Amino acid sequence: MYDRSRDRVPLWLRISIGALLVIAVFLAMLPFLYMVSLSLQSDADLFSGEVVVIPEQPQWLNYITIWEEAPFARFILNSFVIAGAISFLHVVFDPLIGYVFAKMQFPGRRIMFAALLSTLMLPFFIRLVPLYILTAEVGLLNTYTGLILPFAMSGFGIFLMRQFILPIPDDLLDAARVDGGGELRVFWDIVLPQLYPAIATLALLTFVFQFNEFLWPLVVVSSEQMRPITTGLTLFNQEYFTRWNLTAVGGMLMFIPCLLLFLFAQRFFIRSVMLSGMK
Amino acid sequence: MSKLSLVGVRKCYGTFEAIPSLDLEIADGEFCVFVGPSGCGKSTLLRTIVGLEELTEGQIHIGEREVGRLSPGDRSMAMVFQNYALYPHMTVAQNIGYPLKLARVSKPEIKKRTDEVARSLGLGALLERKPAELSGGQRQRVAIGRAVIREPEAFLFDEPLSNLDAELRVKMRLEIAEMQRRLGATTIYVTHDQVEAMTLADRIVVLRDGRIEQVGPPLELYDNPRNLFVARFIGSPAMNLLEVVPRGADMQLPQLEGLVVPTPAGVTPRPGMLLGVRPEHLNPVEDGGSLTVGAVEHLGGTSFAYTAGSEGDDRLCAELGENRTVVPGTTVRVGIREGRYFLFERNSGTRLY
Ligand SMILES: Nc1ncnc2c1ncn2[C@@H]1O[C@H](COP(=O)(O)OP(=O)(O)OP(=O)(O)O)[C@@H](O)[C@H]1O
Ligand SMILES: [Mg+2]
Repeated sequence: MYDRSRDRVPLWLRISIGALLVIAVFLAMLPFLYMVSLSLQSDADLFSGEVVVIPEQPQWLNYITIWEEAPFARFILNSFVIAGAISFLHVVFDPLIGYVFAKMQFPGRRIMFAALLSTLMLPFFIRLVPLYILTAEVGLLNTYTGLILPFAMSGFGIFLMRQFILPIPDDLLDAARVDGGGELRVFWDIVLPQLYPAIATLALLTFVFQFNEFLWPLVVVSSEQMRPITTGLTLFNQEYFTRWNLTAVGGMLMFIPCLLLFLFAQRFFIRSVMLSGMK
Repeated sequence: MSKLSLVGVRKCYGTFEAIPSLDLEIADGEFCVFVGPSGCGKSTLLRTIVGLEELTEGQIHIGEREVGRLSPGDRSMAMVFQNYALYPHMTVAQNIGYPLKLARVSKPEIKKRTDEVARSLGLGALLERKPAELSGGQRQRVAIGRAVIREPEAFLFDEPLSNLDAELRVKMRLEIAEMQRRLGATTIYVTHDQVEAMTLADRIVVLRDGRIEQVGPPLELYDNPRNLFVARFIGSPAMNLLEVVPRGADMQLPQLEGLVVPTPAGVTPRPGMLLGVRPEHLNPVEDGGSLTVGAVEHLGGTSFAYTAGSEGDDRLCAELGENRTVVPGTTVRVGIREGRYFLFERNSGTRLY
């Protein structure tokens, strides 16, 4: 393909932009690259007192040790259960509630929506303490329910769905009603298929976000068995020294599912954008 | 198909009364057209009939059934929307078959009937396309197909052709008329378009502020408008409305200087009257009133002369017939054909003659 922009942008500028990009990407990747390096270091490397960039003898065994030093499989399972359940609940409820806010008239709608939006503006740590007390009161500390429930609803997901539903023409919904569809039918047959890209985005963001959630599990989980990976890794944070190499291995293992999910979802996004036809 | 009757139908939005109590009977198989200025409640009435708007008061009967409180899908009515309202993620076949799918008709039966309907609408080759890949006319046909397939007892159209270009509009108008006759379907059709109303309707309902001003066959409304509003509204070019100055037993028309019309029996000439005359009854004569021509339209078979002035009541239009020699800037003498005029009271709109 002939690219006309090449004729206009001078060479020196193109080189500088390219260099800038490389530097930016490198800086962004640096912590990650260092994590890769750390995950392959031996305990001796950590003790050496110097910053080891490339370990002389990569300790591939770290990737096996981690499963023995901690119930790591259980952590992964926990993470998947928690993030999966939360994403699932969002995918089921957010479009429905978003639909109600976008297309239905009922008394108090504006106030309820404002209340919903206000939860978006409230940082989580403000809710943390009351939420903890509540969770403790109902006896949900150290349970999946206690880990999942507080995140099962969020203003963000509902807001996102509402924004995507708003532009769907009312005539389309009315047409389906006249064709014989009840409200749930209309939602299922007409609204939902047009939301697939939005729902995929919501599911992905929610999953990755929850997979990386640290604060809440740190607060509500004390038992080793109920930890997700994030707080599970703190087990390597021992009294006299932190096993940074194993922590980094854990980080790598966390990163892989997220990466796979992104790669998988990307194909789905493109497909669904093509599917959603006329505006 | 069945007759449709509205009994005391009333529709309010909060405190705003969009449709004050309204009665109307539409016969089995009749093509009924609602016309009226923008905001007069045509869409509201249609949506109330089909059940998309909640009925505030009154009853809606279709055949022997009272359906005023049923949900739209249970009223056995189908509706075609102005913007087609095709489901963008479904193919043409799925769009047309959707009402049957909702009615739990078996798959093979849906396919069979979809094929039939699509073929009758000339959509046979497009069944696998998405709405985005269709032209405006094709989309409208799909919308009609989706309405037809359920074999409803009544069809409702809300300005279905207003998004199409002029040529296609004429074509689709004929198709709709043909389809309606073939199916013998009881039909309500909302339009802004004079010509659509006149050509399609068995009966026209003229609405103003949610009230029925007059109901009747197109020509009856044209020949015999009940009041000033209907007279103004029906007909294109519109009826000329002339100031009347009483002079003894005669009426003088200042806008057509020199023209004097004898007052018909039973009417006392008085100020505040308007004389209405359709352009085809205002023609060049030897001894008529003078009309200063601002513009001429030659339509081929006939020609119209317009006075200068903005569109509306003070711009006059006379049909010149075969006379093609009139040019703008000149004056023609025109007269009103014997007895072919109306008299209205300007303020109340009441027809006096
Ligand atoms: N949802 C609503 N809430 C309040 N008022 C409404 C609502 N829908 C319509 N109206 C009012 O009801 C009246 C009739 O509206 P309607 O849409 O039926 O007019 P229409 O005759 O279809 O006009 P048009 O020719 O422009 O389509 C208008 O005054 C409108 O403002
Ligand atoms: Mg309307």
